Formats: sequence, C-alpha cells, structure tokens
Amino acid sequence: MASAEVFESPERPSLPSGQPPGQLTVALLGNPNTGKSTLFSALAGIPTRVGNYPGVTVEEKVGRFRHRGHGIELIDLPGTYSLLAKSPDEQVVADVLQGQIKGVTRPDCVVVVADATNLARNLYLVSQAVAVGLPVLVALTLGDVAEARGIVIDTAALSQELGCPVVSVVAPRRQGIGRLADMLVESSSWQAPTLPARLEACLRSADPARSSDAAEAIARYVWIDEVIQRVVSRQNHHRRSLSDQLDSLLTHRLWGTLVFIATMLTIFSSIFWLAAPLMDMISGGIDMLAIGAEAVLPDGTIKSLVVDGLIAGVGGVVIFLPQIAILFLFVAILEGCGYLSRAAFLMDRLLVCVGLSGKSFIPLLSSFACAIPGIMAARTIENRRDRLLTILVAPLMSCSARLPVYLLLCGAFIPNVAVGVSWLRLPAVVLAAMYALGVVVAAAVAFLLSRTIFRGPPQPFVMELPSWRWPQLAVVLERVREAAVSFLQSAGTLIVAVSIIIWALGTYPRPAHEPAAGVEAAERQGEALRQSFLGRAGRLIEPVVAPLGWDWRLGCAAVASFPAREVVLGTLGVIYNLGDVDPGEEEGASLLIRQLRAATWDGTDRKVFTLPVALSIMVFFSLCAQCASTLVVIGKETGSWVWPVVTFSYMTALAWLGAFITYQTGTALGW
Amino acid sequence: MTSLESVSVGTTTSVADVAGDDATSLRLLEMGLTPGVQVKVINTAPLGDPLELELRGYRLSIRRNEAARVAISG
Repeated sequence: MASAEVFESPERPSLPSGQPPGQLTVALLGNPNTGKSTLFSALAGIPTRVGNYPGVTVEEKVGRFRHRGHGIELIDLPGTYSLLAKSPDEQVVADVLQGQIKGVTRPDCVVVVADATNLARNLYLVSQAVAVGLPVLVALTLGDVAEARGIVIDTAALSQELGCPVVSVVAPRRQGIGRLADMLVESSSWQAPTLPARLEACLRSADPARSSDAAEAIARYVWIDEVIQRVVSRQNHHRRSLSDQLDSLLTHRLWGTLVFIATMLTIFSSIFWLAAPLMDMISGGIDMLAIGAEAVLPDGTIKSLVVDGLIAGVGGVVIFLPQIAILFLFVAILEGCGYLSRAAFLMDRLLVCVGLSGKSFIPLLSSFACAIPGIMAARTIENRRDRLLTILVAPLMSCSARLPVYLLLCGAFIPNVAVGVSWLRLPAVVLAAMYALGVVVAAAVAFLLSRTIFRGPPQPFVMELPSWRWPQLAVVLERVREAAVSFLQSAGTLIVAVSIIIWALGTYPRPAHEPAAGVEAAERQGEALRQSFLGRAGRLIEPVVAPLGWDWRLGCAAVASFPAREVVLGTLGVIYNLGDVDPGEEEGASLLIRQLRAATWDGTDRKVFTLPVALSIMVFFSLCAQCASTLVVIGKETGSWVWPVVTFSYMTALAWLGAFITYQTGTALGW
Repeated sequence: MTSLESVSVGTTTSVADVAGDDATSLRLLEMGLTPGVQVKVINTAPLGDPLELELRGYRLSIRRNEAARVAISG
C-alpha cells in the first residue's frame, strides 16, 4: 500500500469556539463492522462515559486520551451506513455532527473509518461526511486483510479524490495509530473539505425523475465507481478468500444449520452450567456476608433491614452477573468474527412467521438462562420495532429462576409414573411442557402484537454479512465490561429499593404480642408474616386467586415473589411452617416438600396442594413477570417506563388466565 | 422485467433499477444496489429466504420481499 498523503491546507489560526485551547472533540464515524470499535480502543482505551443520548435509546460512548499535550475527547458514533436519517441511530449521528444535541459538543473534526476490503460501500458514507462542514479525516482500516486479498489502494490518490487526508491504520497492531493522533491534534489547522468537483457534477446530473434521495444515492455511486477505478487495483482477483469458503460452509443449508445448532447449544449450556459455579460462589459470599452481619448487628429492625432487605436484595441482583458476562462474552466473540449476522440469516424465515426477525434469535435463546442478558442482547437488533417486540416476549422464555419452582412442584406433586415408555416419567414431561408453554405463548404474543399494536409497513431486512475475521480481545472484553457495569448500575439501584419495600411490607406491622417462650423460630417468623401488610395483602387478594385453587397464603407468596420468582420457595417455607409435618413421609423429601404436602386450608382438613393446584402454580410462574430486575432492565433498555408496565400487565394477565384454565380443567377432569 | 428474486443461486446478474422511492428502496440503493452493478446470488438460507448476495466486493443479505424490488437486466 502506498503511504498516506501529507495533507496540506491553509492555516486556520483560531481554535473552534467553546473549547479551551488544547482541547479537541473528535467524532468517530463509520459503517458497522469496519473495525471502528477496535480503533476506538486503540486510541482511547476504556470509554469514560457510556450512556444514552438524551431522549433516545441510542448508545453514547465517549473516551478521552492525551496526545502531545492535547486533551482529546473521542465520540464513538453508532455504526451507520448513511447520514440520511432513516432510523434513530442515523438521526443521532446526523444531529451530533451538526451540533444539534443539547449537552453534546459539536465535534471539531470527524474521523471516518473506512474498511479497505470493502471500499466502495464505505465511500458512500465518506461522500456524505465531506459535506457536513467539518474537517474530515479518513482512517482506512483492515488494510492488511485487503492486501492479503490482493486489493491495493493508492491512499495518496484517494486523498486527492476525496479532498481530505487518508491514513492507513491496522488498529489491532497499533499501526498508524500514532500518526492518526498526530494528525488529529493538527486538525484545527485544516479546513473542512470542499465537495469534490466530480461528486458535485455527479450530484448535479442526478436523475430528476426519482425522489431526490434516491437519485442522490445513485449519483454518489456513479462518483464512487469512478474513484474506485482510479485508486484501487486488484491482483489475483479470482482467488477465493478463506472468508468466502468459510462463509459458504456456515451459511450452507445442511452444514450451516448443524454448526448453528452446535453453536447455540454450546452458548445455551454455558450460560446454564458454566455460570453455575460462579453463581454458587457469589451466593456463598452473600451468605457469609449475611451471617457476618447477623453476628455483628444487634437484634432488631436494623439487623432485619440489612440482612433480609439489603443483603438479600443486592445478592439477588449480583447473582445474575456471571450469566450476563458469559452471554456477552459469546455475543461479542460471535459479533466480532461475523457469525451473529449469519445466525440471523439462518433463522430469519422461521422468526418472520411470528412477526419477529432473525436477529431476535440470540436474545430469545439467552432468555432461557435469564431474561436480563437476553433483553440486553436485543441491543444487536437495529430495527426498533423488532427490538421492542423481542424485548416484550423475551421474559416468557422459562429462565433458570423458574427451574427451582418447577423442580420443587414437579418433585412434590406430580406422580412419578411412566408415560408410554418406562424411562419417560411424568414429572419430566411436565417440566418439558412448562418450557414449551413459554415458547408457544411467546410466539402467539409476538404474532398478535405484530399484527395489532406493532402493525405497520413490513420492516425491511437488509443486512451486511461481514467478512470473517478474528474477534479483537480488547473489543470483546469492553463489551463484557460494559454489559456488566450497565446492569449493575441500572438494576442495582432500583432492585435494592424494591427489596427494601417488600421487606418492609413483610415485616410491618409487627405482631401485637411477643409469642410465648418455646415457640419455634420458624413458627414465630410465619406468624409475623401473617400479621404483616404482605399477609394482609394475601388475604385481600384471596378472591382473585381462589379461582386458581390457591389459598390466601399462596396469594401472599405470589405477591412476595415480585422481586424474583425463586423467592417464592423461601416465602412458601416461611408461610406454611405450621410444624405439623406428616411423620409418615418417606425419607429424602425436603422439609419444605413435607410442609407443603401437609398444608391444609385454614381451619379445615382440606389439602391446599392438589395436582391441579401444583400445575396451576407452575403455569402461573411460567407466564408471570415476577422479576423486578427484568422489569427494571426493560425500562432501561427501552428508555421508557411504559414498556415494563405493559410487560408486567400482559404477563400477569396471561399467567392468571393460564393458571385458571389449568386448575379448572384439571379439577373438571378429576385429577 | 425480471427481478433479483427470480435469479437462481450461483448466477451473476446486473441491476437495472430499484423500484420505489421509500426508505427500503433508498436503503437498497445506499447499500450499493444501484443501476449497472454486478450482483451474484451466493446462497439462500435453509428455508429459502433470505438471500445472500455478493456485490461491490462484499456480502449482503436481503429478503425475497426486498429482492422483488430489484429489477435486473441480463
């Protein structure tokens, strides 16, 4: 490759307004998959600020670095193919470049990241960038890959054609990074490029019969074809690149599908099983913390608040961290090497049937482990409607927090009989049915929503299948770090508040008189809960839960499990601890199971937990939105509190309806 | 006029026009499917949709719905 051109331009003495001398704001603009993130890491390292632009859920990523005494603020704009805004992302990019976003400084110059292996399409954005009225520098990335494919770019000639400097960088090896930074600190002395004369001529002769945007797009490519002719030469043109060979394998009808299934199974089992030891470690640490706090703090409200409210609440959030980190590790690796687009390509047709798109697949699959990383993974869906729809149905997938509830109830109340063949037992069939239920209901909900409130013109699916390449470690780690931090920040604050509220509702008002000495601690706890607001709420909603076959205590447990489904096990334990465990029970059944089996309706001998009741509880917990963290994350990811409310309402309604149908059918059939 | 939708896998063809002036057509043009460009249909997904195309040295996936807007010549 030819070395980069030293760009000359008249001196511009004054620095841009509003900036102290030596301070520079640089925007990083580029198509997706151009190595923009790698360049960002190479220049600025870890971003100093990651958030959303005001009023929209478009990610704002800003980093800072110093170079030769200058402080440089680097804004990583969302990857975009065009500055003609058709999506919120593109609108934000256009607005930032025009300085039209409150609180975001208009950049002093723009670095357009262009992929050398795919120069023609990347020049489209460059052709728009040179017209925004800011100094522009083109950073040509992946030159090493282009060279290996026999693509030779004359950067000096390209710089001439574009009327702006062009620097070749190989960011992973830090080639050209210093030179790029040198040029940035000198950028205050350049002028904004003037529109190249040939581009102007092409735009002037655009077809007047088309809409101005379409005609302009065609005209820009006429100019691009001319530029490519002059600056790109190809050698061994017909050699099939390794990337192409890999691509034909991985998008192959049979082999591609098999690799896809294997990849997804690996990811799915990793978030399930790889995370388990880490989660155990975290929960062990939390238990130790709770025991420590219990030992140190004096008995009373503060102790109860710290141990049952704060530590339990924070612990309930932190426990999800390993799953989030592992999922994002996989997503970042798959995204970095280009597989994510292939997965979307393979699955698209299937998901279109229910009103989703191929890109919904990974978020939905991840939601089987936990809806939170799944909902966060929906960030990879650019299309707003598809993304929102995916987020709304993701919590219906049976997550790992439902598993303990299913396992307990299946183990305790589903008869262990064979179904057809001797090795297939009924509890396993019921367990599988619970997972299937979530999938079927999610498909139905997505189908309905896409044809009602999300009805609209068909969403186009125009997706680049980027070349295969090795994922960049820095980018992968940054992705994982970002997901973890963003989760801890958003869910951490609110979930703590919710936990404290639920704790308070379950603690106050305290029982009027102290129980007599000799009463079991567990029994005292149960009595306190019955007296509390939560216990009263349980009695209050009894008419609502009665058609599900539940007594007031089950209603109470359902209310108390709002912060997290799995809490219901603990609540059931506390609330049914009447101490009259059937002594004739077989060995092995846990205390909780024995307590539940012994529970009767208040003042009668009628058992609470019959088969239809157990099934109705399982169906309820399979479809309900009893997970405050999920709702908080939905709020954060959609940038609106409307969607968590919608999710909670529709899921609770479905859960009640499902439980009702299950109980009534089961009772009618005499189960 | 035939559209890109009817082109069989492995065939290279030339784009004549992209019908329509809406956002989808504009996106197709912006991605480089402009009149005169050579396009090869590389593959289809297992269920026959979407299509995998090669043009301007890169690979693009579009659904048959979108491909139907792309008129081809030769």
